[in-house]
Amino acid sequence: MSASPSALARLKKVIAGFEETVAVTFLAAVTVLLVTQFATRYLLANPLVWTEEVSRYAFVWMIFMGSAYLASKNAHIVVTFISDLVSRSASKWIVRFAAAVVIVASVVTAWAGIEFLDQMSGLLSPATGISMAYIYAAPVVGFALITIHSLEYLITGSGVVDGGEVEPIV
Amino acid sequence: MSISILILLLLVLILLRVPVGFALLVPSLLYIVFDPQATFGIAIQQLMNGGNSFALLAIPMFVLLGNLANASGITDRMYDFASASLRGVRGGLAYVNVGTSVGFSLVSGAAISDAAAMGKIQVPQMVKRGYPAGFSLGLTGASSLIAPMVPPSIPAVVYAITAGVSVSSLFVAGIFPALVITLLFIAYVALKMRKLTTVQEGDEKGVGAKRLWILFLRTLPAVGAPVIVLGGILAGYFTPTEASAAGVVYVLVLGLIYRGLNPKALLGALRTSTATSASIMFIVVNAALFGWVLARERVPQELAESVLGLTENPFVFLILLNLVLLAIGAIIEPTSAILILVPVLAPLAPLFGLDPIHMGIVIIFNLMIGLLTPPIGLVLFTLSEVTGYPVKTVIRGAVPFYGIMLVALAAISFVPLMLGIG
Amino acid sequence: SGTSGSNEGDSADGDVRTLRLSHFMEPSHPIEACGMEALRNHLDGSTLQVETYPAAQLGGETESLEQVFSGNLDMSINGPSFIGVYYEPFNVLDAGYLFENAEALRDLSDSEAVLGVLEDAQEASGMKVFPGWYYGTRYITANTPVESPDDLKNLKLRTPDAPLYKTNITAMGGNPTPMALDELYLALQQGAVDAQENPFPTIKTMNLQEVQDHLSLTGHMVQALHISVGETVWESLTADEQTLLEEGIAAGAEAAYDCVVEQEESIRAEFEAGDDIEVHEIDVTEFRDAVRAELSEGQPFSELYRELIAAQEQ
Ligand code: NA
Ligand code: NA
Repeated sequence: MSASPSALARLKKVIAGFEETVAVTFLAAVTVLLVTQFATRYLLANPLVWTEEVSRYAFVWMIFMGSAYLASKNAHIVVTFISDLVSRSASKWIVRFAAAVVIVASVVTAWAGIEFLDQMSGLLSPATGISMAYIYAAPVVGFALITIHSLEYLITGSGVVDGGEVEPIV
Repeated sequence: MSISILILLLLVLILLRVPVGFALLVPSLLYIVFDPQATFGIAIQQLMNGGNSFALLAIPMFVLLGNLANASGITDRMYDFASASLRGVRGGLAYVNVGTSVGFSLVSGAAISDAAAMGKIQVPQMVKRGYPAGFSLGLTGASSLIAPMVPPSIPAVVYAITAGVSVSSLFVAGIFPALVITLLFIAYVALKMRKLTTVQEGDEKGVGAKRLWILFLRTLPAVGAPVIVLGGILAGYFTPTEASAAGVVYVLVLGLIYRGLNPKALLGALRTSTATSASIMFIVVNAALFGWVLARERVPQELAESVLGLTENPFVFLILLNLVLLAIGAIIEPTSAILILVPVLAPLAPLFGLDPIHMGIVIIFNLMIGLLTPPIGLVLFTLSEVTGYPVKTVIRGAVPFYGIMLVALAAISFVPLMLGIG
Repeated sequence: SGTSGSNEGDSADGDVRTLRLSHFMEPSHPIEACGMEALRNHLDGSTLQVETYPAAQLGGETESLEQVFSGNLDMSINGPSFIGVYYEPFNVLDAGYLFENAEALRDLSDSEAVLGVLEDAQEASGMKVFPGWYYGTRYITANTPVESPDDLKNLKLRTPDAPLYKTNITAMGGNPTPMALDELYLALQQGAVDAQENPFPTIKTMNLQEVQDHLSLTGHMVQALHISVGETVWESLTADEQTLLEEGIAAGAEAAYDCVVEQEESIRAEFEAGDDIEVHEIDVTEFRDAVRAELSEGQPFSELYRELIAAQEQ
């Protein structure tokens, strides 16, 4: 890595902050949409028909942006039976191995997903008529961001990130 | 690509500290690589659609409901009242844990929602009172399985539709088993409390009737949350997902009135809820992709057919059925398992003289136990996520409950058969 | 290859080519039990086999068709509104009061007008779409009889989340509320919605007669499902295999028609004999006029709609 560690750390913090902001906004949006849905069903003669669909799509984006944010904190759910049993240096290698697996899988998924987005771009969602590419983009973007975050764990072998708001479950 | 190798790979990756979601993703990607008739596009499709479900929206809403209840001080008030009124009762909070799950089961159709809401609130309180963490986690997880046994129940609706039986009959049929499970848990708690000398109940010595009444009045508005959620569903104002959102709004308003909820606390609750929901759902979406692989290779059907081809005796059949379901429940999420298995299993019921409704209850409870069983136990992961305890602590805590649930499973499977109503 | 050995890559299978077909219906549904069975029988002993995956186990209707479209699945059977996502005018086959009844649908299924729509759909989507299999006639159930647009005015009526279903119901005077089918029973039981519309077999399979008191014979949609095959898959078949598959699908259509019609009649007789739900013969003129007025102009398929209606009046 040619960039200085502090520059990298800053960049990472900016990306993670963006991911969290987007995910939290979508969760708030889901809540508002659900409330709107039952409110309009009782208050209006013709209830809104797009809230159900939009709330599902907001949820999908929340899942993948939230997953990227969790990756920035190394806070995805893991099982640590083995890595707790072995020595500290062996444990670092296990963390590096896991990070390598995550990176390969994320790169494949995100890269291959781009072609799928292209295929789906002509399809429109039933209620709102948005291109399905915008919805299928959620996992593609999510996995691309997970790749970026996971590089750090591959290099350092550290499974625990300090100072995060999310408690890592390790 | 041999399916047994893929399942082995899944287990190895989980043990090697690969996040559970990725441990499901990697074998699925390998399957796609080796299948000339599949492209990686299918991975994206299954990952997105794994989360694209209105019913699943209840999960983030119930997580948010729990966090807002904490942030607004509502949980504290309930806790004050519950601990004051249960002072001196050995195992009070443990009974409260089972009891609230029974209450919650009337509102929620999914075990994960119960585990998310109850785990967040009750486990820390129990640990504070000296209950072992494992016991608290195990009890919370096991009692969360009552939710899908009692109406409303998402798996029951899916089973009824798939098997072509009456939804309401299945609902009614779930009540007796739920009662059996509840009583077994209560009996276990009573037994366990003799050994748990570290537990301190009743530190509010000298709380008089007047103080209790004041605490009750302070708590009363908080009771409105479950009333809105439960009443809203039963009276027909909301679907379960909407009801959870209505509960969120109620708690929000209450929190503003209590002044316990400022914008900072509200944002904090939103952030925690986002992280928790994403963490659970990341496994759910990857499990959907892995489930697609298993369905495409007809794994559950072949497993079921080969095992069930062995006998004509209904008792042996039920034992085999239970073994198959426990194995499948340990690796597949219940709704997918029902959709894949029931078309194969339902036609077998009459051949063994079994009632398809009875078999539905057996199938649902088996798959619920799978939610608490490694490697893919979504309730285990949910509890770990909302409480911050490692997954292994949750699993250790769940171990004694496997025994109890197997007793309950035996009762649910064989008692109706012995009474001739199977 | 996989444990099931169903894959064309299996050398053990010799030269047999097995196509995967996904659908959302139960294995006991006539489309599977009669239609797919007839298709399989027709192919029996040949180098071409069709393996079905019922009950949406590979994905729901939208997903299955997307899988065919993206080359991850060989075949899928879908309602016109789903194919309409790929070629908008295809929606005409789901338009309200298009076909007089099941017989009219069957008689027109290989007419020049309908075959033209199938060809255009193939051109637009890259999927070969076959003539439809009769799926059922949709009727409205509610807790009150529905005999005129006025009766629908204050009912929240569940429809699938597809625009044309909503257009049809709105033109009939109703308030469509989209909702997933698996949530419908609870929603009706608990009153979150008041009414719904489906063919007899779906109403019976979902046990909706337990939670609805009246079924009115509106017959507002007479529906067929269409098998789609990806063009790449289709072109990889030999000419003989293509003919065989075409004949097999036609045989399936015939078998499905007979079974669906028989099932509709027997379920109707069962409802009429029982106490769960009351069946009402109604005069549909008011509904039909309103819907036809709405759809004859201004829709992407209006010209075709008028044409197909005229063909039945001859
Ligand atoms: Na509980
Ligand atoms: Na329940």
